[in-house]
Amino acid sequence: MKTLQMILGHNQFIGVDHRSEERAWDKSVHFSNPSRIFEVAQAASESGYKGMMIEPHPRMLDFLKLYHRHGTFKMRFYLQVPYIQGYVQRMGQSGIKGLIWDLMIKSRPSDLFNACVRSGIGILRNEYLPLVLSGLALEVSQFKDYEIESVLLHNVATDLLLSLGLQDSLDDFIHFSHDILGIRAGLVTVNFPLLASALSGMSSSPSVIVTPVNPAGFDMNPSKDAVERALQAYRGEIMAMNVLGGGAFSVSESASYVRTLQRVQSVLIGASTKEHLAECAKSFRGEA
Amino acid sequence: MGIEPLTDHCQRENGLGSLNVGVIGAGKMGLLHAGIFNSATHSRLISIAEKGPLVSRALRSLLPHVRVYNDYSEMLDNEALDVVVICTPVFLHKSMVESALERRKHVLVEKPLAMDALQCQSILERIENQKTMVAYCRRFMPTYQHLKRIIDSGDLGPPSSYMAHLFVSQVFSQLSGWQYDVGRSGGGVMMDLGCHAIDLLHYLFGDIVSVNSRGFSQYSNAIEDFVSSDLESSDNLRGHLDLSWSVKGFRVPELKLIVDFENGVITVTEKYIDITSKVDGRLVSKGRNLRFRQELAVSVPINIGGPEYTIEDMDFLDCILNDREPLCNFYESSKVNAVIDAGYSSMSSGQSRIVEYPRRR
Repeated sequence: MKTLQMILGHNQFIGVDHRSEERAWDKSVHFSNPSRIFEVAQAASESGYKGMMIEPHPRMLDFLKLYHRHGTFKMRFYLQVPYIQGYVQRMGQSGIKGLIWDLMIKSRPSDLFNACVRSGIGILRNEYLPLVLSGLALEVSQFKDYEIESVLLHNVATDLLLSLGLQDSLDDFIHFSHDILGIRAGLVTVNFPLLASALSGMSSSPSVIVTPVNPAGFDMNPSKDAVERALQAYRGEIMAMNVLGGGAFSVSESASYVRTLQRVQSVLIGASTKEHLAECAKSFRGEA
Repeated sequence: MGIEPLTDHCQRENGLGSLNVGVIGAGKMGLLHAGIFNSATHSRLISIAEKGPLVSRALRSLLPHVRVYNDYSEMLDNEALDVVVICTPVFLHKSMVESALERRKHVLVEKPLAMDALQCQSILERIENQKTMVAYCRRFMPTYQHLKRIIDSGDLGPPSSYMAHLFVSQVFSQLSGWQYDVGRSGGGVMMDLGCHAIDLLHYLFGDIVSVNSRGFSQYSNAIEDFVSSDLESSDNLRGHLDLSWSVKGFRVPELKLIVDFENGVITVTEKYIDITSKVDGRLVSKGRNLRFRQELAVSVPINIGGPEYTIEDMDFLDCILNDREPLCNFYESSKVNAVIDAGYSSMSSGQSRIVEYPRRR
C-alpha cells in the first residue's frame, strides 16, 4: 500500500470554517496570534506533515516571518492565489481601485515596475492576460523570501476559466509561473473531470492538481463516480482536499476511502490540534 | 452517506436545442452566470454587454467566440437571444429588465428585482409569457431546502414563531460605491442583505402581511447599517429579523433562523441544520438531528463558487424548456420589495405597516 503525503491546510488559521461561522470566528480569534499557527505547523511537522498550504493573507505572512526566524522544522509551502475572499471583501468596500491600490502598496518597487511594464505592453498589444498574470505576480512577490514548492491557482479562478472555455489561459498561467516566477504551478478545481479533459489539449501540465475527494462525494462534480473514473485515468500528481468535509465526515471512514484511490498522492488536512493532526496522519497512512 | 448528482432535467425531458444567452454586466456575478450558462448542456453564451472599457476590451480579447457590446440595447437589438441575464447595480435593473421583456426575452436578474415595489409593478406589466427569475440563491441551498421539506412534511407541526439574523462583517466606516448611495442602492443593509432574508421567509412561511422595523446608521450616511424588524405572516405566524453588515465575526454572510414548532425546534444556516424533535417523523427522528451542508449537497455539472448558483441557473433553463413557472419569478420576488418598502415606511413613521404587494398581471 502506498504512503500518502500529509499536507497541513490553512483555512482554520484565517477564519474559514465549513461547519459554522461561530467556529470560524473562534478560530480566527485564536489564530490572530501567529505564534499559535507556528505551534500547529510545528506539531504537524512532528507528526510527519511535509507541506503546508498558504495564501496571501496578512496572517500567513506573519506566520512565515516566525517560521523564517525560529523554525527548526522544514515545510514545503503551497501558495494558493489569488486571495479571492480578501479581494471580494475589499472590492465590496472600496471597489476595484481600492483593490489595485492595496496590491500596489504591498509590492516592492522593482516588482511593481516589472508588473506595470508587462501589463502596459500587453494592453498596447490588446492582450489582457498579462495584466491578470502581473497581478498574480505581485501577490506571489510578497513571498519571495520563502521557499515555495508550487503556486496553486484558486479553484474559483480555475473553474471559471474552464467554464468559459479558456483552457489556454490555464496553460499561460502554468508557463508564466514556471518561466517568469521560477515556481512550479498547480491547479485547484472542484470539477476534476472537466479539468482532466481540458489538460489533454494543453501544452503544459500542472505540477499538482488539488481537488475534493471524500466518501460522501461532497464537491466532487459532476458526480463522485465521474471523479473516481477521471482520477483513475489521470497520470499526474493529485492532492486530495475536503477529505474530512470540515469535520462533517469521520477520519477513519475518509481515510479508508481515500486510500483506495491509487492516484491520490497527498491529502490536505485542516486540523488545529496536535492530537487531531496525529490521528489524521496515522489514519491516512494506514497506521491506525 | 452519499451525494446524488443533480440530474440534467433539460436533457432528460425534451430534445430542444441550445438556448442563446446574453449577459449584461461582467462583474463577479455576471462572469459566474456566464460561465455556468456557457457550460450547461442546453444553453450557450453568445454575447456579453459590459459598459466598462477595460473589462469589455479584455473580454473581447479573451473570448473570441462571444460578441461583446458596450451598450446593452445594441446587444438586445442585434443578437438572437433567448435568455438575458442581468447582473448590474439595482438602479439599472428597471430599464434593462423592461427592455429585455419588451423584446420577449426570458429574464434572470440578480437580486433585488428593482429599487421599490412601484418599479416592480411597472416591470410586472410587461411580462407576457416569458419566464422570469430573480437570483435569490438561498432558495437553492441544501440546508434551507431541507428546512422547507420538514415544514411541508408537517413532521414537527406548524411553525409557531421564528427568530432570524443576517449578518456580515463589511461596513465599519463610510464607504464609497453605489451600494452605499441611497439614490442608486434604494437603501442600506435592509435592501442589500435583507432582501435575501425576506425572500427566504416568503419561501418558508408564505406571504408577509405586516412589518414593524427600527433601524440606525453607525458608519454610513443616509442609509441604515442595522435593522430590527417584527414580521407577521398571513397565517398569524410572527417572527423577528435582525440585519446588519457591521457585525464583527462574520467573514461571509450568515442567515441564521431559529424556528419553533409545536414538536421541536430547528436552527439553520447556510452550513448546517440542527433539528431537535419531540417526535419521530418522516424526515426527523426523536432527539437531535444535526446535518451539515456537506451531507445534504448535490453534485452539479459544473461548480463555480458554489453549487447553488448552478442549481439556480439549471432550474431556470428547465423552467423555460419544460414550460414550468420558476419558484422565484418576478411576481414572487416583487413581494420582497414590497416588504422592504413597508419596512422603510415603518422606520420613518415609527409604526407598524401593512405590506401591499404589487398586483399580478
